[in-house]
Amino acid sequence: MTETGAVGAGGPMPPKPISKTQTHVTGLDEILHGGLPTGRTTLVNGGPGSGKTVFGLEFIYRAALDGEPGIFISFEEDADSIRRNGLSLGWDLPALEEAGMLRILDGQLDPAVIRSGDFDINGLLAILGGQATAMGAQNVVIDAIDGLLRISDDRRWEREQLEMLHRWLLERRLTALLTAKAFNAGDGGQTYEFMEYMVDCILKLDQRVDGQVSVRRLRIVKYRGSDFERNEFPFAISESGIVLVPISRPALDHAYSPEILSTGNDAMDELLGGGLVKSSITLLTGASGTGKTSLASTIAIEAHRRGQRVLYVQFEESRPAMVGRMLSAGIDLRPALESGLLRIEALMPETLGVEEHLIQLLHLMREHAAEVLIVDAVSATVRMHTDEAAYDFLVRLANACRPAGVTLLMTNQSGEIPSDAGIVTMISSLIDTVIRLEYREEEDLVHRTLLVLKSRGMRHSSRRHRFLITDHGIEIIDRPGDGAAGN
Amino acid sequence: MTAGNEGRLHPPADGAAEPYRLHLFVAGDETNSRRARENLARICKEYVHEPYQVEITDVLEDYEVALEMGIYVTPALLIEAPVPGAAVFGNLSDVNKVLNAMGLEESV
Repeated sequence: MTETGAVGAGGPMPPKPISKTQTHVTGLDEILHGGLPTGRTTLVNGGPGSGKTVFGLEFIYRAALDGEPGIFISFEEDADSIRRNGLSLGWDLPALEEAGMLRILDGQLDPAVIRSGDFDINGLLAILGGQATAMGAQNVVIDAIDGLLRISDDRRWEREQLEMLHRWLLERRLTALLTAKAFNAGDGGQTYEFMEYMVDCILKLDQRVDGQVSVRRLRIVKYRGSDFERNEFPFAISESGIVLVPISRPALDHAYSPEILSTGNDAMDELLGGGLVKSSITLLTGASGTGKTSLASTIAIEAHRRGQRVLYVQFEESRPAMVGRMLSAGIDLRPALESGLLRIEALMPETLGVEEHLIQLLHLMREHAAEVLIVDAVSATVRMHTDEAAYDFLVRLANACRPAGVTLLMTNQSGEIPSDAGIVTMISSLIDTVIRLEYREEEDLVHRTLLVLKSRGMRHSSRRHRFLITDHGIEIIDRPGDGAAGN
Repeated sequence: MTAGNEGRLHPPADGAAEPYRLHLFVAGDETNSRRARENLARICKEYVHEPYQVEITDVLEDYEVALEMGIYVTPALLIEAPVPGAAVFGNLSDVNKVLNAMGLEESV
């Protein structure tokens, strides 16, 4: 007899999680918890130069590389400049176009066009629909949709057209990414607030000046039907595309007990609420001669004592000079060096550009299989090129270390760059722990103090502590437990 | 059509009337597209006394032509000849604008 059975006779289906399309943009899919909503519309919103076009292009390019054909149309730049932009990021867009995986459409409108009576954007829909069917495309990027809508001065018309476009995209089940200039621009620019209610997912890009450096950030404003990360994430446009730095969740999650690494100095550990968190990012900042290298060297020796592999990148002095100077301060790096666990590499910031330095540094990190990376001083990156490039360098370095479980310690020489705050402010959201070293001279006495400005997820001291650099290393003379020198 | 050329045409360099080549893009039978067809037919009948030819492309049927010409907005009228030509968006209800684009003026 034939088997009669329960096929299809189960209970009601459990709620189906929404399906997602990977963007393949470094770090973005993680914070989107998988990717963009498949068959739905995402809005990328940001001011001029905030990186909207690159975001859209990278998505369509990487998805095409991954076997998903896609269409890209820009109403701001002609197709050839889009192709050139791609090329400057190492993306061979014409090759994908020839393979039928990608189509870049020229959305340039004739500015001298004459208007006579009502019109609508059915032409765009016909072109997108026809092209999507012809190449089996599911992904569509419409860059600078406001550029198309600008042909009318009628806000109501613009809204109707956007609603029509959105309905059509949904009906066609296309995974669409629309970019538009920022709302609330305050410059009398386009305001498409209603789009916020319409679309399922919104990413906001922002480029602002912190200190004297322009810093890029991304935030997910909304994701209907999905969880997402709500922080602001710094990003850089590297030579191969966008790099987003996920803020480490373990360090922010209080239920998680992170692995704590000792600094090799009991008093210092106490101030930090235990020590440094594994795979966190620490910045040690202070003027020249405040003891940054001494403290960093102590941390390096302690890591070696634990059996960890340490790479110490020195931008300020040669290896022999550094080893000798530390020795006279009672900090002996030689055993760690001889064991092969500690490697000190002196690099000249002026000799190479930011890009070459980063590549070299990442190469050294992999070659040495470093578990702890110390960069002394990161302020040297500013000497490699511009502040902007230095920012990109740091974002990408952080991005390389954190997911690999590498604990990163950077020193920063304050006062080297025009604004003291410079590097500290521009990368503060990336950094878990900031320690500031200060000194002042009082008559013939040098008064050194140390302050833990922040340490994510740790119960750290929040006052200044005096310390000495003795012939046996760093000595904190008013430990938290001492009750000395109150608050 | 015959040349009732009453000085309305931009005279071509050689003095001979170059026929109008009009290319109308519509999206199926939606309202504006239907109006554009009607309005263009009326304009041609009432105002264009020079030779002309009209081509109509339905972008829903033939998106490739629209793609090639960059027609994202419909209805759209391309005046392909005489040069330099012009583009008019809309259902062509504003006759004067269409005539201006064609280098014609509404006769009194």
